[in-house]
Amino acid sequence: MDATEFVPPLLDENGSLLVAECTHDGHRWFPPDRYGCQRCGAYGEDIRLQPTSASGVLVDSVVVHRYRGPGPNAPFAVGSIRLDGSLQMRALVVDGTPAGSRVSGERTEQPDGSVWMIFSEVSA
Amino acid sequence: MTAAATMPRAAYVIGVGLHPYQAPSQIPYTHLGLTAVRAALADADITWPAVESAFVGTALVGAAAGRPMLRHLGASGLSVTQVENASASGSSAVRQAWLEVASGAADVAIAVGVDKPAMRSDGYRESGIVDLADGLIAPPTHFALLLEQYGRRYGVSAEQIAHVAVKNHRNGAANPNAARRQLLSTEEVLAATPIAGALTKYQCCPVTEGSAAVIIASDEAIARLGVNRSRSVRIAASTQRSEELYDADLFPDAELTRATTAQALAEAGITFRDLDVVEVHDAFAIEELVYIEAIGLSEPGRAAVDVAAGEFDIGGRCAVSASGGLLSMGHPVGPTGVGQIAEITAQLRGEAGTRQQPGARIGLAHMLGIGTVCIEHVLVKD
Repeated sequence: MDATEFVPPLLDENGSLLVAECTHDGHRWFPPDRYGCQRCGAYGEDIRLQPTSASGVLVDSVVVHRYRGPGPNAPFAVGSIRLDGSLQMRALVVDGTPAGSRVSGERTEQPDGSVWMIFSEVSA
Repeated sequence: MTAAATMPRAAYVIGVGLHPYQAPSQIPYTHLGLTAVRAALADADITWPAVESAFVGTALVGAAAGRPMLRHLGASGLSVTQVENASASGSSAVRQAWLEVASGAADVAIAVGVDKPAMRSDGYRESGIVDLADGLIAPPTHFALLLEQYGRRYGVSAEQIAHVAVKNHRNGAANPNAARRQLLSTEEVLAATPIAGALTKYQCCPVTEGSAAVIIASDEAIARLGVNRSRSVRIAASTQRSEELYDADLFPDAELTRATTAQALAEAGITFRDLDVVEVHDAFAIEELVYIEAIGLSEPGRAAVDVAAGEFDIGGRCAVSASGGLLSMGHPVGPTGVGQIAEITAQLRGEAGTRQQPGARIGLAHMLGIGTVCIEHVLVKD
């Protein structure tokens, strides 16, 4: 049994976000899982994955001054992003991106070789 | 729902004790916990064999922390249960002890919170679910994002939010059990080491170790053991809920607090206006503001102004975090929720010394545990 049976990858091969959607009540969430819908409890094959563009509006962001772990070196910025379709999630953003601006995410390699999606401002 | 009013009998806090919260040391958890338990026994003026059941709240020590510690009080054969509920572990221990006494299962039960910091995992990290910022958003960052959202929505500045840390450190400076006893100005709070967003070191609770213990007893036990009834404090509500689904622009911890508070106040038969002292989960300064509002003590967006105006100072209309709160007293995790009950008990007895809220008769303790769960207790001095 493979863990991806319960927890699908975050992205598809095209770099789109894989958003989970409950086929019973339409509830959507990200990051995706098939453990069960938080609204109605449906699970497994009743949860489908919808490729969704990694773009939306930056709600807020802050600079993390202290961090010791894999990935980016501090300081770096993280933000809340409202995806097109109203779902909200958090990710790395380019520092200084104004709240309310349109952003899209791109996979970016960090100094330690790990790859993270970083959101930056795009022209409307 | 297990409402206090529907339980067979009332239950009372009869003894409280603490080992001061402090920077991590080489002292084993056993000594920390035994110090608090012995202080609570002395405070209640009872002996260990009278305690029938123990709940040990700990999140970081590891499995089976209870009996290896408690046996040193005398291997009495009492019931021992370890309780883990993240930051609310101690609050859960208090609730379990209350349930045993109020239900009639035991006459005397003790809740002991004890912890030493350690880097361990949690259910979220082990769930198999990762996200785009996996591991990058530690609690200070989570709450720094909330601060941004709150400040923007209500036009509240970082300077105004810093008043929470000033107030709580002033309270904690007068608390011998507090880890960070330091008077701070607004300028000092704002100029301190930045952690995440606008949150500086003094707006984030310190990592600490320590212990707290609370003994809960029935009327019958109070009479049988000759406990001083005038120092006992009734637990009027013990309420626990967990997070539901909320709209994306709402802050889940605030909504959970709102629902839990409504239930706790209804169980106790009071309103928020009756509260004289409140201890909240102020792990980060912004949290105190949103919980003050969720409890109902301030209108939405007004808590920072009310804090700055002294309304939640000791001597104000309701003393919030009179102990110093998590920001100054510290957040050793397992002990924190038990320590809140100890503080409110001292306040309602009129034994809080220079931290005493004048005329305090009703208090509320509020803790959250990641997951998220919320536990509240209402204490009343009849």
